[in-house]
Amino acid sequence: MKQADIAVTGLGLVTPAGHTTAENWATLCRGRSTATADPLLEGLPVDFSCQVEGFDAEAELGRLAERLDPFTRFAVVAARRAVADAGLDPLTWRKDRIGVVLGVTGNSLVTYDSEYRRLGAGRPDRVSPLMVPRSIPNMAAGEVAIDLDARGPNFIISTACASGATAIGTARALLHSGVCDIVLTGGAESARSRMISTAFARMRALSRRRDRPHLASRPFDAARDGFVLGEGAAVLVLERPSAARARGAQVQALLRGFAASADAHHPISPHPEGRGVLQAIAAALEDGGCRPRDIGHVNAHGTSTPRNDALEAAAIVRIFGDHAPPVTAPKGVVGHSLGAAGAIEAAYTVLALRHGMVPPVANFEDQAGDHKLDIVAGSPRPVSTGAALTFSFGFGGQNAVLLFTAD
Amino acid sequence: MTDPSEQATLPENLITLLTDHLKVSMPTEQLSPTTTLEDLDIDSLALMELVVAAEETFGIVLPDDLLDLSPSSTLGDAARVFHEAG
Repeated sequence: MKQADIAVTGLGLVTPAGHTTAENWATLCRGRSTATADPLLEGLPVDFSCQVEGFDAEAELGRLAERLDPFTRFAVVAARRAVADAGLDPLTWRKDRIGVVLGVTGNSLVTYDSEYRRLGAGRPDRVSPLMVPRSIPNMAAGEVAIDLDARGPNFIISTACASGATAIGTARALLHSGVCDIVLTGGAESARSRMISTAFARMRALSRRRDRPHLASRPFDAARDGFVLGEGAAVLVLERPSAARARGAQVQALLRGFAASADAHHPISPHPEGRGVLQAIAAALEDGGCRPRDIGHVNAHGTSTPRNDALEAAAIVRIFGDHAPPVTAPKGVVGHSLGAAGAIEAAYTVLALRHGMVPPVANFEDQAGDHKLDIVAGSPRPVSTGAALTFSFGFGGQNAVLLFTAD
Repeated sequence: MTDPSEQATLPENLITLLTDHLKVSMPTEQLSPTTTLEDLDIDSLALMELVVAAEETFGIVLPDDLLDLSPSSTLGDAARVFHEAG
């Protein structure tokens, strides 16, 4: 059965592409990667990333900044921006009806290096008592609730690199079920830690272009060699369209369909025929009452890893046949922020629908393989069809697909 | 239970941490050994921040006792823990 549409009435973004939606959109449309050498990762086999730069946490958050790890700082600031963008006032909203559902992959490891060193050196008395409250992943949602006095259901979703998108789909269900009037949803993560870089490098998942980091993230390009670590947060304000209209809020886009699936196949390798991915895409289309030809563009998961992009391209061709819509993949510009990525890209999909433009894939020059896609490259491309899909696929074979329409 | 000699002044580094790090709103000259943690909005989490900041800023490893202080504990009580840490 077709579910009721849900309105997106606010966006907040803190990413390597900027700290406002306007900055994000401008950077995205330039189509150039934000990856640079990363002082935090100095001396490691992969020592570059896409970083949130020029973010003055103390100016944004005051004293709070010091006890929060980066992922939570990004979440709180993105949530504030989204709420302001939606024209909501946390002093007057029905607090117990405001939910917060964010996607976060795992513990923030930023401070773990030094704390494990203390433990390893036989000094448990020197381990920071703030270690737990600043690093556990659910704190992103918890701190947003404290900051904005949002007292409804509050939790995080962890589906690896699909977390942000799964969170948005789950938030929509809270509105459908009537549990919440408004849900602040999205994702937050910083993948910039020495252990994360080392661990993914050991899996051979990261690009090794240390000499030219700005060319490293190149989704679907024939010369791709792995993904680039990123960080950031995106928060979307979701509410029922009738409620949005009643308070005179601008509806920026409609969240029309969602589906999630499991490959039920392998912990880290996607199913070779894209079983779970195809199932999720088909179910999201059905959930949104759309056919493939209704879709004007696809925001692909597109990590820039050789095998995953090839399998995703095959799945897109399988669904759309010879008439696949234009495809974009923002990880070329902003890197891969793991749990935040699906939410950041959902926000970008909303922006693309609002502008009627699909931003280009950074560093895309040429495709190899049997499944050629219509990749948007070089400059943004105008689109007239106001419906888009965004894909997010995670380790564990966990897949999430969102369907947005312009109105 | 505070020694009278400790009543008169609070350790300089404690004052610095309260004002610069925890950014308590009370003016420095009003901070006294009888000021309670509650007066300054210092809760258990803020005490944890104090422990971390004391080590980062002054290299002082405060004993766990500091985290056992309650809202009604005073800066004089906190000062005693600082003295114990040397």
